[in-house]
Amino acid sequence: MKTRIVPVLLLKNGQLVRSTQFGLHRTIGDPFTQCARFNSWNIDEIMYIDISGYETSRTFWRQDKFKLFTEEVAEIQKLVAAECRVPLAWGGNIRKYNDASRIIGEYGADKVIFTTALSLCPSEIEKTSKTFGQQAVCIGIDFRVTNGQHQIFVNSGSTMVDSTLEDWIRKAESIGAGEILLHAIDRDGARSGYDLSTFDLVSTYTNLPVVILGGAGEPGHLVAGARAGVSAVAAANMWHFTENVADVLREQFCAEGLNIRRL
Amino acid sequence: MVVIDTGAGNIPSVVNALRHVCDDVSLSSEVNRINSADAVVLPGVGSFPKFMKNLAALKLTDAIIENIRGGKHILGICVGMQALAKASSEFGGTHGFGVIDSVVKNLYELGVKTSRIPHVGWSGVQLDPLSEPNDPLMTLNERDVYFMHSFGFDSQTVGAVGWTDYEIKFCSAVRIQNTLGVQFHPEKSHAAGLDFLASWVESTKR
Repeated sequence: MKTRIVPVLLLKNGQLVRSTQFGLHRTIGDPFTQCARFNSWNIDEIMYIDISGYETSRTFWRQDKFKLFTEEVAEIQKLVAAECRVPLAWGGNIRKYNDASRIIGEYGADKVIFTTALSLCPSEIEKTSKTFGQQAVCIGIDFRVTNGQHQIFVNSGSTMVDSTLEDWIRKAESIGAGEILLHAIDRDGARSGYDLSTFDLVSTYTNLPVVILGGAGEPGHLVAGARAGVSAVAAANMWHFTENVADVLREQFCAEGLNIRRL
Repeated sequence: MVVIDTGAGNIPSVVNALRHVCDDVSLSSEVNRINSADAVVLPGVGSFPKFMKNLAALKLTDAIIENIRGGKHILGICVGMQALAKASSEFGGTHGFGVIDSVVKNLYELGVKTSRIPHVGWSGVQLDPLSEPNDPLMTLNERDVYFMHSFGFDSQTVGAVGWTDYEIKFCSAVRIQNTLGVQFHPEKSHAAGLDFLASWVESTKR
């Protein structure tokens, strides 16, 4: 299997941000130019994650002087999906079947990422899986590792879930998940490499495709992820701040003898 | 060119991609529009049972089967390809159009043991060596396209014209008269996918 190399675009209140530890967010641009750019680079897949807090996501504020022509998440979803010629996953603030149905069925995204919904309303996920197929359902798992124990968080990393990692993954499987997105909160913005031991652990629990996110700071980190056997290596900040990153990654993967997609 | 609005799946992305390569693309679920179209695309992301149920509710099932048998140029994508089968074992078993004498099965049932399922990602399509040079599938030579599925046709399927390896070999493209079914998603396969769609649109005019 060819490892997918996936840029993640973090969206907060309609603007693109870079992130550290799910807390420090800085605006770095608008979501459309980046999508067009990644699209023209012939990227393997694009993930958008709306990290505006669920309650505040309906009230938009801004701190920069640039004026976007829209701040509405639905409008952004629609425009991005129309622009995107590669597989598009959308996550963040998706709790209802109707949200998923709108993003996939109306706008043309391919996948939705449910995170908090697994805790609050798993039946909505199940309905999405039954309607659009399990490949359209990705379950995001935001976790920290404390004293060797995995803790799972929802609500943008603010609420801890009373479940073991294994049970959480079993639950995701039982309601029709088609992919797992492992997001290491502690490594967000840390550039210290992926948490591959958690990936290894998760692989013993499930045979679903696993995407890892959090910690990638240099091409070698992504190479290590691919070597470990993940289905996709995802990164956010790195994609914005590395010169010519798509070509650099492809070259590095080829040099390491890794099997990547033929364009 | 009519894209059948099946009411399930990522239909807008199929329409968006087709509009890149064809000026005249419309979306419809009306039998008359489908019958009178020169070429029809049957997109399908979604579950097989839901897909067939939607078509039945729209009273399109028989019309599509007649169009296939009548030799219309039809492109079935993903579940739109799988629907050509007699049936699928997804969620307990559902009947398809029955124009291909085969049952769509889970990749595990087809023999995958260790690989992750769903099969999500970029893979190549091996072509029939006897393919015509202007066969749309020839645009995919030595290139990868995007797959996103848990079910598929086995490699021995009658009418198979393309195969893909994912631990096992399965049939990723099938042709019955002028109907071409593809398991991958050309609309999500960037340049390779657009080249394929452009070539298919061209082939419908021959």
